[in-house]
Amino acid sequence: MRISLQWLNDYIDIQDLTPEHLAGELTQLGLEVEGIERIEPLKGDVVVGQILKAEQHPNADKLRVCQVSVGAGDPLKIVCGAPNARDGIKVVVARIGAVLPGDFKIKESKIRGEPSFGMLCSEQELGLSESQDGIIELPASAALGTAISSLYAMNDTIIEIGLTPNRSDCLGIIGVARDLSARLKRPLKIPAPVQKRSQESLQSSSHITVQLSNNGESQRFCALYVRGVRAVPSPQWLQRRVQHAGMRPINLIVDATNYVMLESGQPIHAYDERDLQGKVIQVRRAKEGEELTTLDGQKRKLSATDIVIADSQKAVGLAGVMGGENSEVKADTANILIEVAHFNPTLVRKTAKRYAIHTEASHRFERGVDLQNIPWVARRVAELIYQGAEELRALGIDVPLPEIAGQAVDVCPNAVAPGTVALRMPRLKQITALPDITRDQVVGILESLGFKLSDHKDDRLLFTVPSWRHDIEREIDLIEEVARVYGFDKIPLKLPLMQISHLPEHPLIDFLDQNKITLASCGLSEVITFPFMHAGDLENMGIKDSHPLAAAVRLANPLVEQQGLLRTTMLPGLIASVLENRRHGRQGVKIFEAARTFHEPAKFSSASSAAWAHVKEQGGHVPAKARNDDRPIERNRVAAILDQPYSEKTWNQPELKVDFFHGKQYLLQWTSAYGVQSLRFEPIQAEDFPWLHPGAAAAIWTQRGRFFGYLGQLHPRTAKAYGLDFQNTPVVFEVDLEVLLEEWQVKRSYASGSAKFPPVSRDLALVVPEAVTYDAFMKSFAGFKRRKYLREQHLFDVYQGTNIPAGKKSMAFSLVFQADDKTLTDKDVEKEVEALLTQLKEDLSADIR
Amino acid sequence: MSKLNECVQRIDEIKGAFHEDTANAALNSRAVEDLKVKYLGRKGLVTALMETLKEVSKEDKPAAGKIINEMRKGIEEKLETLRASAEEGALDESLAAQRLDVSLPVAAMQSKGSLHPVTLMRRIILDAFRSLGFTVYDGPEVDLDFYNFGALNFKDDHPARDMQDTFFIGDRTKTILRTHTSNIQIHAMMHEKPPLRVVAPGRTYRCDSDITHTPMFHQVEGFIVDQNIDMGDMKGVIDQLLKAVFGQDLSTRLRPSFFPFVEPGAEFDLQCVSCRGKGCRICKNTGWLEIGGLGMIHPNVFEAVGYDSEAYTGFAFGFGLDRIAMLRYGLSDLRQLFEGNQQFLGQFPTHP
Repeated sequence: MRISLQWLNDYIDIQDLTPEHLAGELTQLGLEVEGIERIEPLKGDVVVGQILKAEQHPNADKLRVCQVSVGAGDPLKIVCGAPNARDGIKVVVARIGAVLPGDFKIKESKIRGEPSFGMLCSEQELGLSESQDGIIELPASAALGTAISSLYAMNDTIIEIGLTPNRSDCLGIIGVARDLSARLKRPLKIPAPVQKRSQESLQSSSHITVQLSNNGESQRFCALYVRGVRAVPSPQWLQRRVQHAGMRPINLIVDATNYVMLESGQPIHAYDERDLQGKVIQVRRAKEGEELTTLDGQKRKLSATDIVIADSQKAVGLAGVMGGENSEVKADTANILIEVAHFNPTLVRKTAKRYAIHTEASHRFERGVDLQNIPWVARRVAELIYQGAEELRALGIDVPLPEIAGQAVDVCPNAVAPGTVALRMPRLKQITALPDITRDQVVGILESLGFKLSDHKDDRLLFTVPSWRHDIEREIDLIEEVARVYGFDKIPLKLPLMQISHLPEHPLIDFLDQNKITLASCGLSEVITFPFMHAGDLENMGIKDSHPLAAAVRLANPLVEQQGLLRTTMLPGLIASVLENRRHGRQGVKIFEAARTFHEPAKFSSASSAAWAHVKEQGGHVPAKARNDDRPIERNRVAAILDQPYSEKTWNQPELKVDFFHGKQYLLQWTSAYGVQSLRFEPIQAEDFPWLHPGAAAAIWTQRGRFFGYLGQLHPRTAKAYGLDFQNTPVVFEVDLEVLLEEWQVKRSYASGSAKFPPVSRDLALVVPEAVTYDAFMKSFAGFKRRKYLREQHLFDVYQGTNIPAGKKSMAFSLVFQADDKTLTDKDVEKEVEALLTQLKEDLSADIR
Repeated sequence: MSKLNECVQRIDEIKGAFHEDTANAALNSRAVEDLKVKYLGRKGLVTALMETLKEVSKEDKPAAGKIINEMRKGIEEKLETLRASAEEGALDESLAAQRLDVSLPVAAMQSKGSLHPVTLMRRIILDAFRSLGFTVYDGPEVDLDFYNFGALNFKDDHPARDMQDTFFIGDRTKTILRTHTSNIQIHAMMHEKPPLRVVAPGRTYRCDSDITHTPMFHQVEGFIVDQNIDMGDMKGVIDQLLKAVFGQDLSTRLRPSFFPFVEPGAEFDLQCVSCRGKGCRICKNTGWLEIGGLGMIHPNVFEAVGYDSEAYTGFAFGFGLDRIAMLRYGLSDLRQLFEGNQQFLGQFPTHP
């Protein structure tokens, strides 16, 4: 909302205050100042002059050489090309040194051999309009030498305020003035339209009948008849005010409606009487499919929730949003009906949204207009048209003086009684922490805002709410009014006295932060990416419709198609980050993200997957009550990607490729910080993880059988689809943080003290069939029935090749034996190794090498 | 000449020769070993002299044996000293040949990790809140209209809803991506009983994307509910928190504003962290930075969650975490936060 200070001064005396001071006061009132703009389009001498003599230019047919008087001093010689430059007329003279809009500097010059000391200006050159009809002809009454900027009211200061949606009353300058009047304790001056200009014999009702359909479309509709108008350009001051407020001057009638809208906040429309068939205005719902061409030239097919203004035949306007082309004020319009009405805010909002047209009118109707002020507004518009005509006539312009009807047609089906709200002084003091504020101060503030103290009993004050304040519904609203006018800065700073809180925190919250720190300490770098993906990501990852991760939440209004789905896996964001880094020439990044994935339960297919069963359970951060709502699932995940290479070549080490085991190292280093090491890594079922290398990937399960996540090399197909090198693909892992939390919370037992007797170690190389996994060895070790002293076993070699039969491999373990009660002898150890070999032979067909 | 005298004379000769042999410059281990053979070996000079003892008279034997032994001991000790010093010298010499270029570069033992600046800031802010007795609370990012708008006093079809460009979920009615963390206020209040001191950080979403807006961003919401909480408490708590995070010398101020779920509502400003209030480019010469919004919790909100709006009062405040992080770390480009570029993100530490 652009507030012209020149205009504001009509309603409250502020001339003594600087714009900065006023801006401060407005901000303190809650009318946030977004900027201050000084308007001074003309610099230097641009003044009223008179052509004493206009003679033909000796060297150019279309130019004249004029002798121009600007009052004091000798006449100026100015060359001018305008056809209307002639003897005697008063003109706008830009003298040497003046600067016109567009940084157009006036310099002494020679035009076709004739020197010229200035310029005679057109409206376009002054930035007043696009009109190129020659130079401006000023009225004969204009005094020579007067600055044009003051004659045309061109200088102004604009304070731009960002209005919050509750303050519909400040969509008119008077509303802003009223707030200031309360704050500055200065009187508010509201112009009173002069009633005596109305013609009592002229009745609006003889020219129009207003019919409101009674379905909540409009609570009041006022039509005022004005006879004998003409759509001429408005007086300059009126044009400038409309222009400075950010609207385009059009003609006296339209400008007057816009002016009063900007003044009062009430949108107004003027109809040409000739266009209203049957002398009737109806306010009704549009018929489904009814057509209307709006003022912007768009032909629109209407819906049954739109409100239209119609005559007996057709729609003539989209109520509250935009007028119809078929009834606008035209050059030959003589008689008009001024419409000032209320329209249902919700319906206007829906219409404006449906057609995506946001107008000054719809903006105000959506927020609510002042029902009580409607007749005043109608009078005020008519008065302004009259006053404008009068001023133009004084300038010698041929405009008829309009006749204003004595009575408007004012339909107000259900008179709305003003609301009342009670304010208790103790409650006000309690909430504002202003114990010393007095009743008189409170009443003073509220009355200056237009509230009326209608009743009071002890400390309970009952106020009548002004009809323009739709935001005042209950006591707290009054408390806010008092507090903001009184000043938030006067409220003391203190700290609350409270019981010590007993509200426990969900363990996941701090766990998440701790894990980020651990992951970063492990050497991974955190990224935060947008949680969006699109069908192309699912395709790249080979995820088919039946896969649980295909059940994605869809956005109805994504910004771009690539962000149409909420991610069901963290990978697309991480891959995008790798690509971003590669674009900047950075390889080998090792990054992680901890965030949520989203799953649409309604889209889960019947195909079951043990690994992905958990995406059907709501994450722990969703409070129990909300779990019963039908809502998408959210899971808390951690995912990482290790780009190639693992390390670049250096002087003492060749380049190292990232492989599966690097990923495993990172993963286990991280989880071991939470005491979780005994995770099971199992070969994947390719259909569960189609984006992973089928042989270099693992599904990870906890000891207790919970699916924790996956780890593996990216499938070459997926890498290729994303434009990554498909021979050396990155390694990724993605795990469920809540499963880690559960594992971390499992109580563990710890051994106390350390063994007193020395350990003995033996190395054992075993030849087993190729298919025997490390995991199988571990199971066999774990199930070693005759275990007495074996404490630890470490794999130190895996070998296939020379000396090992085909289809076999050698795995070498370093075994550690230890007793609690004695130093072991070779014999003790030999005996146990013997027993172990027997078991390994049985379990794994292992032979000593 | 008695045999004894002969022997004494021989000792002097051997001593003299030994002295001569060892008077040279530093001997290496090999030379020391040679001397040991020459004097103490099986055919060495000292050994040979011992052989002559049997020719010495019985009464002179002890005296002669004694002096020979003394000489032998002296030679042994000297040779041992020489051997040790020869070894030292040899070690020094071999070490001197092993010179490293100590200026050669090394790679890090592991890649350097880093935390995202928003995570760092989140940690700092949550620590400040926890120290004031707040409990951190969490809630869903995809939420129902009721929690994000309805219960927060956003009326259906009211222009106030236009203040936040909302992502709607397809295939569902009244389900959205939360536009602010204020939805957690409702979840917390519906789930817990007052008194409450809660802080709720999280990701939030608005369909807006330009230089200063990203469709996903981070907010922190805080609120207190109890009997007798007033606007003075509100001003005091926000002041304390901002001071804790940005410095004790900075003051705060409120400007009345409107958010449907609070009343009276305001925006809060912090003195510019860069110029400390004097006016600079960062604060556009105002001396103040707009940080967030706050206000007394609207009675309509209390009523929507089933609290007694007469008995309980409270305040809530919220602010953008990304902006605060940018202020704190002196960053200029919001979008950079979410592009994953390691040249930028990798420079941050692994601990708050």
